[in-house]
Amino acid sequence: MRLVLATVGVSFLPLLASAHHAFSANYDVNEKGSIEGVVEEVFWANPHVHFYVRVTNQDGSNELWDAEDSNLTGMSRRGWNRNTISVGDKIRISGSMGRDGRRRIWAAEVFWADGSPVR
Amino acid sequence: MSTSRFSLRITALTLLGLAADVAAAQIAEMTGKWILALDGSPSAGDETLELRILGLDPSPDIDYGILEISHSDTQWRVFIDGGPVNLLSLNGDRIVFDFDWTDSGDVLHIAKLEGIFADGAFTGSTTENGQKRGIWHASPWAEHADTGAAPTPVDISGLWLSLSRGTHKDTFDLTPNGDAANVAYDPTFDDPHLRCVTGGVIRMEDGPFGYEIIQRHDHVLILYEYFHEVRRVWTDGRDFPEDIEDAYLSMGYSTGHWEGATFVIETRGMKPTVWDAAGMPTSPSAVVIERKYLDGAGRLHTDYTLHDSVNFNRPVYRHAYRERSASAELNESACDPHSFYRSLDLEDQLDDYWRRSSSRF
Repeated sequence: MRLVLATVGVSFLPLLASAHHAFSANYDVNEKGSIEGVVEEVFWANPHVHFYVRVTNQDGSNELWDAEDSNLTGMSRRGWNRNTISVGDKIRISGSMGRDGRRRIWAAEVFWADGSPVR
Repeated sequence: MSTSRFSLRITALTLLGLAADVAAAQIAEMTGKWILALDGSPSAGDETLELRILGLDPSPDIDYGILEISHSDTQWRVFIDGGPVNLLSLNGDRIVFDFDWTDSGDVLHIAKLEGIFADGAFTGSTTENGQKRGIWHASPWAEHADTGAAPTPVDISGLWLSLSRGTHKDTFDLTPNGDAANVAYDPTFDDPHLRCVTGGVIRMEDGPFGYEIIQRHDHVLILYEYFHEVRRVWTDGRDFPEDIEDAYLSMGYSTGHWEGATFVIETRGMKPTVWDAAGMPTSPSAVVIERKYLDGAGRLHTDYTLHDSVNFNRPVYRHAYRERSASAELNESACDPHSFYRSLDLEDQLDDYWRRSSSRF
C-alpha cells in the first residue's frame, strides 16, 4: 500500500474556493490525490459516511487516514449500503486532499484493489 | 477570515453605487424587488425558461433569488438575496452585474449577468469565466403580498422533495456585530451541522432532503428528513410566548396563518446560530417570515425573509422550491457526531475545539 499524490494545476479550475466554507476549509479542491490501504473502521451515519483507512507508506510506517464520503441519502442513491465496504477490505480512494497536510481525503471515487470501481 | 479580497471589492463597489444614464420614467419601473430565475442550461432558450418560470416545465434546473434594484441620490445599487452585488453598468434599458454564489459543495462562483429591461421584466444571459452558463429572467416580486386577502387555505400536505440545488449568495451586508461573528467563525470547528445540530429553519432547505407537511386543525406539522427535525406551526391564533427571545430554540417557535392561498409562517425565539455553511450569523432577536405557495404545476415554493438587525443591515432572502411525491418515503436521516470528534482527535485538534467553546453555535 502506498500513498499517491497528484496535484492538479490551478488552471483547470474555473472556480474560486472560499476559505470560509467547511468543505474548502478542510479540503483543497486544487490538490487531487489518492490513497490505498486497508479499511480499519466504517462510520455509516450522517452527517457524512467516513472510511478510516490504514495506509502503509513507502518507508514502512503507517498512518490512519480519514476518507469522507456523502450523506446516507447520497450513498443510498448510489446504491451503496453499510455492507458495500467492510473492515479489512483493500481499497483505493481518490479525491480532494486535506488541507495543510491533514490525513483526510474527500472520496470522489473508490476502487477495489484490482482497480475496479466500487458500485 | 471572511473578508477576502473579493468580498471587500463587492462591499466597496456597492457602497459607492453607480451613477447611470437612465430615463427618469424608467427609474420607477426598474427599481424594486424582482424574483430572479437563473437557468443553468446553457442551451436553453427564452421560451424554455418562460415555461420553467411558469412551472410548466417538468424538469426544472433553476436557481432562484431575490433581486433588488435601488436608486437614490443618483446612485444605483443592486442586491441579491439581500447581499451586495457588483453593478458593472446600467445604460438605458441594459444592465450588467456580477455576483458571488456558492454551489452545494460550498465552492464559490462568480456569475456575470447581462440583461435588458422590457415589458416590465428583465431577461438576459449568464456567463462564468467568459463561458455561457445559461439565461436569466427577473419578474416583479412582492415582499409582503399581504393585501388582507381572506384565507383560502389550499392542500400543501404530503411529502415534498427538494428541487433547490443548494446554491446561494455568498456575501451579505453585515453590521459590525455580524461581521465580527463571521470573522470569528471557523467552519472546521464551529459549523453546527458538523456536530449534528441544526442551523435553523432557513438552512433546513439546504441539501437533498425531503420534508412532510401534515395539516391539522390547529397546527401544521413539518417533519424534516434533515436531522430528523419536527416542527409545529401553530395556526390557532396564539401569540408568541413571553420572553421569546430567551427561548434559544434550534428551530424557533412558529405561528402561521393563511393570506389567500399563501401560508405565512413567522418564527422567533431561535438561538444564535449560522444559517448557511459560510457562517452567516443569526441572533436571538431574529425573525424569519416564510411564505409558502403552490405554482401552476403544483410545486411548493417558499420565500424566506430573515430580519435580523443585530447582524444584517438589510433583510436576507432565500427562495426554495419542492415537488410533491406520492411514492417516496422520508428516510430516517438522524445524525451522529462521532466522525466530527474522531477527525479532530486524529488531527490533534480536540484541545483547540474545547478552547473555542465560546464560539459554539
